[in-house]
Amino acid sequence: MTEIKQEFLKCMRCGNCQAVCPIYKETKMEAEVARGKIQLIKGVTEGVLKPTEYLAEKIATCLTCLACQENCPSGVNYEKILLYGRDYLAKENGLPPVKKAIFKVLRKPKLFNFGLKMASRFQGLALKKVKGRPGRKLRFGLIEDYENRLLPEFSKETLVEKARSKQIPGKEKLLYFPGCMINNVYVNVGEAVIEVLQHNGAQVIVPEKQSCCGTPARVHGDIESAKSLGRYVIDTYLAVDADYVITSCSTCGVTLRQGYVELFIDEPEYLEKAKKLAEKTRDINEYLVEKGFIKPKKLNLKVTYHDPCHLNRKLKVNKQPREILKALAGENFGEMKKPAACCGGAGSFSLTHYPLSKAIGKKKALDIIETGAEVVATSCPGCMLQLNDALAKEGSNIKVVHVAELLAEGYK
Amino acid sequence: MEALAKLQKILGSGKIKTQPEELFVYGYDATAGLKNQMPLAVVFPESAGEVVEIVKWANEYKIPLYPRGSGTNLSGGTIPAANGVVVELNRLNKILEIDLDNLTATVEPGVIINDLNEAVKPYGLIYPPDPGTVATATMGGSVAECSGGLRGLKYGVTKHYIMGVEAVIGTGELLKFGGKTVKNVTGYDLPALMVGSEGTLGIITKIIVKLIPAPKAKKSFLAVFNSIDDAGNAIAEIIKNRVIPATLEIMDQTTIRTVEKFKKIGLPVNAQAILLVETDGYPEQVEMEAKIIRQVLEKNRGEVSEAQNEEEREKLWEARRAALPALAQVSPTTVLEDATVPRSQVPAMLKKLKEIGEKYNLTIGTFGHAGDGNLHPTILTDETNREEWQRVEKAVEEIFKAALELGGTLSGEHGIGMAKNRFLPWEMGEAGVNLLKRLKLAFDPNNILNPGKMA
Ligand SMILES: Cc1cc2nc3c(=O)[nH]c(=O)nc-3n(C[C@H](O)[C@H](O)[C@H](O)COP(=O)(O)OP(=O)(O)OC[C@H]3O[C@@H](n4cnc5c(N)ncnc54)[C@H](O)[C@@H]3O)c2cc1C
Ligand code: SF4
Ligand code: SF4
Repeated sequence: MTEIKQEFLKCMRCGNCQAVCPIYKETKMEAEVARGKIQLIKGVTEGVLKPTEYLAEKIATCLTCLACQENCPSGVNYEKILLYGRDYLAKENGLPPVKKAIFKVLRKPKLFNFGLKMASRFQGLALKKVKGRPGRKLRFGLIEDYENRLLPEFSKETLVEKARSKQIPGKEKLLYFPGCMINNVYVNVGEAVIEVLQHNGAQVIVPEKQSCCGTPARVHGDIESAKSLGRYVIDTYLAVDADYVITSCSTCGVTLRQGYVELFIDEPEYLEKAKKLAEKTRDINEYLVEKGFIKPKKLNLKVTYHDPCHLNRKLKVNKQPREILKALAGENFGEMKKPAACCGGAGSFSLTHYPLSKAIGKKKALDIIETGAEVVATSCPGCMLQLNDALAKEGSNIKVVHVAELLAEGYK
Repeated sequence: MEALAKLQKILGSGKIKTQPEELFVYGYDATAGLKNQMPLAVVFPESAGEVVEIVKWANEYKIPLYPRGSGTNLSGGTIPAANGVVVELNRLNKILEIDLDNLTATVEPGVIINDLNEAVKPYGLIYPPDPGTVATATMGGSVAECSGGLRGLKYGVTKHYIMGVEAVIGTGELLKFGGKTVKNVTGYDLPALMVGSEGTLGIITKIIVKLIPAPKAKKSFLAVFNSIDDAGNAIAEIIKNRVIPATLEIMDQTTIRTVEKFKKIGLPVNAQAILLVETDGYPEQVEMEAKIIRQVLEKNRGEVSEAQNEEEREKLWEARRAALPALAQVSPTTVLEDATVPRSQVPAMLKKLKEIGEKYNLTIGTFGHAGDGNLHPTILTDETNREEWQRVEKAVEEIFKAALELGGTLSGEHGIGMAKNRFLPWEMGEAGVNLLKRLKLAFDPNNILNPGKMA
């Protein structure tokens, strides 16, 4: 508590966060910028405000993009305060019933994977194909305007299933952690990651036991689910003696590298293990540049890059993907206006706050279109989902890819 | 409550908030050490007409109104009373016109200063007032505070750029003052009166500003001094030599050490002061002035480095930009003052600040706009430490006294608001304060607009 008090005090209420907060730029509401949310959390934990649903909703109105934190002159750890606030409210109010149900399933990897498997079979019932575009739309609306969101197709075969037949030996032994989205939806990204790593001489293993990394539960205050998933992932990925663990999703990467260490701070056994896993984990871009990746052939494509928030701000991986893209596109690589501005996806935020998410995505799409690029690369499946939807809404045909997919292309 | 129900009806939904969570976040601004005060409601007008309706409503029910922009002021200017309604103007945020023939821009009050500058940049123009909050502060808020900034010495402050104002005064009348003409002596100089009026005379709904051509070239210097006197003499001498730099900033030892601790950019921690000087204009003029600046700095035993390119310039300025952020990280509460003295008294004021810090056993880091005498003594403290907070309050009083004794003023750019109004008589006398009060009543007979601020 005293630690969080210090953090509250550090905020001098200068309002600098207004300049960079994508949500504030849309809504202009003080309760939705970091300064306001910090004061609300301070207010409720000090008992000046009641832990209402309304307050919980304000605290939920955040992309956790951390642009505010990066721009804060006082060095306020906004993320810490936000998570503290969400935990506090989850304890006081409980989780909203929908999220509770979701996390309950998430917590049981087998049930979750089975559910996703079923989803791939039955997606046709709820999702209709969209002509001329890779993806589907909901047949009926549950959330305001959500029926118009372009959603990716669930893959018939998960990455784990596909990877079984792709084993080849190599000099370094890598364990790949694809995460839910790549294992089930953007399976082609996972395949590209494996190809690229193999091309660079590594042996790549995708463990059979896959699960969610736990962060979606963590950021909504369901710490028990997050921990149970964390232990599962840690045990799975420490069971094999590998040189590195590779991630290709911004969120999963941050979770393995930093999140588990914070999550298990009071659990010595898993804290030790979490540290061990953190040391071994590398984002795919980071690994390739660290090892001096084999130069690909040049692709004749105009490319731009979108920085996933957490990969950029928390793991500071931003130069590496650009190095790879420049190797592929040379002079044809160009920056967009604000490459590090959040795309508005932010995991389940795009589900729970679709209109806002869409407005933020629109700005991103316009910045991408302005560059004249044919392809926008990024390093996170969550961003890919959002960018695909945002660009489609603008009627653009710019292709959204993971850096690994382009590199795989360059190795062909 | 009947009054609120009526207001709701006038505005329609979405433009009024009464949930405690919404009210709570309009109960503060950037001022340190003030209690959060929740208002009755917050309203978000989207047109001047709606502002008129709100003010008329307030007169009917005798409910005070508290105009607000981005809430970044440092004098408690936006803090409401419990029975008041906050009028948030950030939805009135259109740039209405950029007039290239008359070099003016017409904006709504919610436009962010930087956004105006971005909009006029393609035409080779600038709007010079540049408070530290250019990326967040609204035009309305900065007009109401008469904000200054880094370029005050050469380019002046907000008041030098405001040609016309449209405002709803306390009676609910929508009036236009001034316009696009450079010359205008019709009636009293009312646009000037609105600038710095801190929301007490009218709610500004439109602003006509003067734009100027952007300077073509720039040159920046950083000079390190081992004595405050040398630095002070250098400041005075640069100006005596008829060179008016765009910026002339100072950082004292406490600030230098703090910046170095947090940023590690290689600042000399044993130096007594650092001066940062930038000249701008046509290349030939910049060359000439740069020569004089360098000579003066060196003559006064300054160790001079000059930025050779944009990258080096950014590096030099990094130290200055880091001043407040670094100081703010040292302690929980940062009290940022802006007592201002005539330029010639800067060395005397710096010495006085050092004495005050020692007397009350407080850490005071001082940096600021040395060229225009606007210093920012920054007290590093903890508002929850009651005993220390009392010492802080005493020190602040003494800082004001010192500034006044040296022929200066309580506030150069941060405003009076509710943080400094009890000191007004020290500078203006009772008669002066009474005149302010009568002026206010002429605009706002029922004391509806931002009561409790200024006088
Ligand atoms: C880190 C930091 C650095 C700063 N640096 C500087 C600096 O270098 N120079 C400087 O001068 N100031 C500085 N300031 C102070 C502050 O940023 C300025 O005063 C700013 O212009 C206020 O703008 P705002 O939109 O936040 O106004 P607010 O704080 O919302 O309001 C300020 C005052 O204006 C009134 N007001 C707002 N809008 C209207 C309107 N439409 N009509 C009538 N009245 C209105 C309010 O009632 C209040 O009295 C700094 C502040 C911070 C936190
Ligand atoms: S920028 Fe940092 S210190 Fe300033 S209001 Fe936002 S969180 Fe607080
Ligand atoms: S994390 Fe992003 S969305 Fe959330 S308050 Fe900070 S800047 Fe705004």
